[in-house]
Amino acid sequence: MGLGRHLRRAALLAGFACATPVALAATPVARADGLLAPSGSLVYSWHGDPARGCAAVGVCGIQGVLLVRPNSPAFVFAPGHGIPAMVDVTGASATVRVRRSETGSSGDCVDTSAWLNTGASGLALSWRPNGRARLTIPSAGGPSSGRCAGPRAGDLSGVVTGRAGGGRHPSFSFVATSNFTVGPYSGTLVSTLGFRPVSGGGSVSDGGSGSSSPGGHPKLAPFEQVILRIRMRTPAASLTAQFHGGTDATCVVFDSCATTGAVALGLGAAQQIVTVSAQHRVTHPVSRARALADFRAGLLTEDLPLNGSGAVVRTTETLDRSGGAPCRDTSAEGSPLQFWLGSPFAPQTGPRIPVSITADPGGIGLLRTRCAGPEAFDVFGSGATSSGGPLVLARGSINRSTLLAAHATVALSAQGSFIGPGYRGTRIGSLTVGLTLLKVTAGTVREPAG
Amino acid sequence: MRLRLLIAVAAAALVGAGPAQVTAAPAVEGASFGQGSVFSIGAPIGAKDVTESEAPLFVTGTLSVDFHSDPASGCAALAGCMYAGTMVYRPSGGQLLQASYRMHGRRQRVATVILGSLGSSTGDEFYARVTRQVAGAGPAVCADATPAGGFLSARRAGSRFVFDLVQALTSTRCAGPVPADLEGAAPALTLSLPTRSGTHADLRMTRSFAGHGFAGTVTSTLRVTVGTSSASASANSPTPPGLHLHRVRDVQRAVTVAAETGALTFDVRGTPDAAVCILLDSCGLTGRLTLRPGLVGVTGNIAAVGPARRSESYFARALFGQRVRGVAVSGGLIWARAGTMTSSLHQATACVDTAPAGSGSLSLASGNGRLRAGYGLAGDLFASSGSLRSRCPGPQIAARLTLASGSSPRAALSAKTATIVLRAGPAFQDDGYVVTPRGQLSLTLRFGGVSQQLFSAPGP
Repeated sequence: MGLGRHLRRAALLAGFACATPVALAATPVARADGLLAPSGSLVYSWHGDPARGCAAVGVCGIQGVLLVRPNSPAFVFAPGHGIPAMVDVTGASATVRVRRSETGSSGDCVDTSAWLNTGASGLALSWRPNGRARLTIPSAGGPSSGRCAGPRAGDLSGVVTGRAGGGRHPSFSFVATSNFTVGPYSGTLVSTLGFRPVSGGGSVSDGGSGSSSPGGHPKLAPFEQVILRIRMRTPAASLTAQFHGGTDATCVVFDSCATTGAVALGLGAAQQIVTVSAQHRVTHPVSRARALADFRAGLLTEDLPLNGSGAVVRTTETLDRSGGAPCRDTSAEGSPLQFWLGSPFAPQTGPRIPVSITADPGGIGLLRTRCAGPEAFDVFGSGATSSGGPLVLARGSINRSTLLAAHATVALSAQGSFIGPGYRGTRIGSLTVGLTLLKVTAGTVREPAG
Repeated sequence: MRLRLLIAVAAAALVGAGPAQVTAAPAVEGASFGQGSVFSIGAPIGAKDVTESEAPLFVTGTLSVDFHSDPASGCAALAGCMYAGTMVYRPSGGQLLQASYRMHGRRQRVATVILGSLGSSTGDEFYARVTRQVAGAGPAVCADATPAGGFLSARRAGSRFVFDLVQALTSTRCAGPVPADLEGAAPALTLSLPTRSGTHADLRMTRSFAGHGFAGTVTSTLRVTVGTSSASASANSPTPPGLHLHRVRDVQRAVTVAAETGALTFDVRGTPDAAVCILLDSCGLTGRLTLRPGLVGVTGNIAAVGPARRSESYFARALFGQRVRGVAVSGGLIWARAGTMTSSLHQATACVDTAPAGSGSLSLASGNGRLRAGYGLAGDLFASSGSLRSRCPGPQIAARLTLASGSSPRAALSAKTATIVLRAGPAFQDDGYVVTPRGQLSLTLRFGGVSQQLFSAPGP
């Protein structure tokens, strides 16, 4: 995933519409219908608005700007059949600057917005023969004020209208100014974005895939296999990150010096069916009992687990600042979560199976309110996000033998410490997940040996 | 997945060459990307008994720079000694790449370090908060962040490899010292090869610096631990499913910049959008930047690559300007540091400065009867020195991938030298600045003899 992005970016850096066979063979490349050179920018500016209750939140002294400027050619995918074309802007600078001006206290926060950095950019571009064009800014993983005070990801989603011209290889102009209000802020979006075709950049063909398999019939081999169908019940719970601005130099640039705070994630109760599948190659077919015994002994390797889903239903933050106004805000925007029986990272063997609750890296804004504070990958990332992995909110493990019981529980804990840009602190919280075994399938199957 | 392939491809993209060509290029020991070298990581093509490994680097702490205008260092020209600020780099982690191989009968080792995420906008950032004292008013504040990290080249110190972390730093749009000013004050990561998992380096230190108008301290709280290494694919690794090994002939000609005249200038003004310029402290700023690339002596190559069943002379004809069906010529030059950037700006007071320019690239490619050249940045592979900035505030013109371009008839390749005039690109905006490029560069390229390599490469 990450590598493919790197390779594609590498090609983009040189404006290579057609990468070489070596590069393309290394990563699947979806069909694209051309390259567009972007120009201009999106400039979001906001300020705490007394008419919108900024005093109650504590952000009346806030003024900020998010400036997004695509700086690499964009792929346009035009599937046709009435499906809006997608513009994949793979390279952009997105810088947030927020000034806090209060009586006797002031500061400046600068951050780079996560938008366009997670692969979740998904700018949707559509147009009609009459020349009307629409640029839809996504809510999931969309632009935000990052660790600085201001709009959350999702607050700034919307549609920018513009013009398309140029016939078969159109260019687009989205020059528009609009006002917006989000929570305690009022603001303005100024778009000067434009996209024009790159000469020679059309028809990036589907370049093949490294996943294509060689011809011939695969050789089958016996595998002992155990498949468990389990109902997971997770209660409503709260996970909290307590943080402070630290004393190192990063607090100067994030305006987090002498701050303390906490952000609590309220998780909704959830219930879902998940499947655990584990295999081990054997020389001869084995019985169901033997397969289960080997499973208990940890000899079988799990496949990529199937996961259930849940949601963060509420994020509540308090931020106190020595000499400044406290900030209190709550977001009720739901963020999807995944529940995993088995590791989402790599197949595992051994007597215990990891259990975890994760958030998609596209949901990096799930910890954010409209106060300043740490990002989700600062608190839950543990370096996982650098490779595009999920954010682990809570984790635990369960003995494989216990997993075969009719009913079981597993304790998940969020406990730990974190150090991120501008903020450091601890994670607190736990929840107990109830498991009910619904079905067990065990025995031998024949599958490709490779 | 082979990081080396990724790096090779990325480098190829930067210099406008095909990956096969760069993969075939000789490795630069220690993965340095010195003048004119098309670099690659790991063992060079033709090496025997290759072992390569990648290990994560776990990095904690920050590298920060606190600075102020220093009259004793000559700050008068920098807006009358009105600047003070803090710059912070906090690496998120990194990778150590090691390779051991036998070549010409000798066992050799190379290593490189990548800080942050390579070539990705999810990489590390260099943050700055700089104040400018304004007469009769409170301080104006510039807050900015630009990508940092990337490749660190090594210098040898006996049997050890020394990675100077100043290479990971860059310049923001705010005023302040440039990375070159901090050489000697920033820490270095010293490793002996092979570096084993669990190796720990304590880079905590505080050192002062002074010069070029600023003085201050560099404070490092960095600690680096080498994680568990994993063997990466070696030259003998199996071919991925669906791919086959092909014998490839890579015919190259050396290219050297023999002469350079002219300069690129950039007329600069702060954006009139008050909401934007206030927080960057670019309101009312006007002036000019002058970039003198200083490329004389920089070397690189152009290459024609294709199936090994074709003869060397078949590809060489293309390298000498003839049209050869199915053979593309591309290549370029890439450098770590060359030339100077001069700022002459005014914002209530004047700020005038000249600083070393960073890395860059000159791409060369033939097509439609022309030899095309593009002068630009080396992208975010080399986050550090890719910045074209001085100590005055100003735009990141490095945000533009191509600063100037031009072409000559392809037949120019038939001569020993060719002159290409590169003209500045169109106006653009960079964050809180509006930039209008002007001027042109005239580069005389000297073409050298032909060399070739044969190697195997996976392909469909």
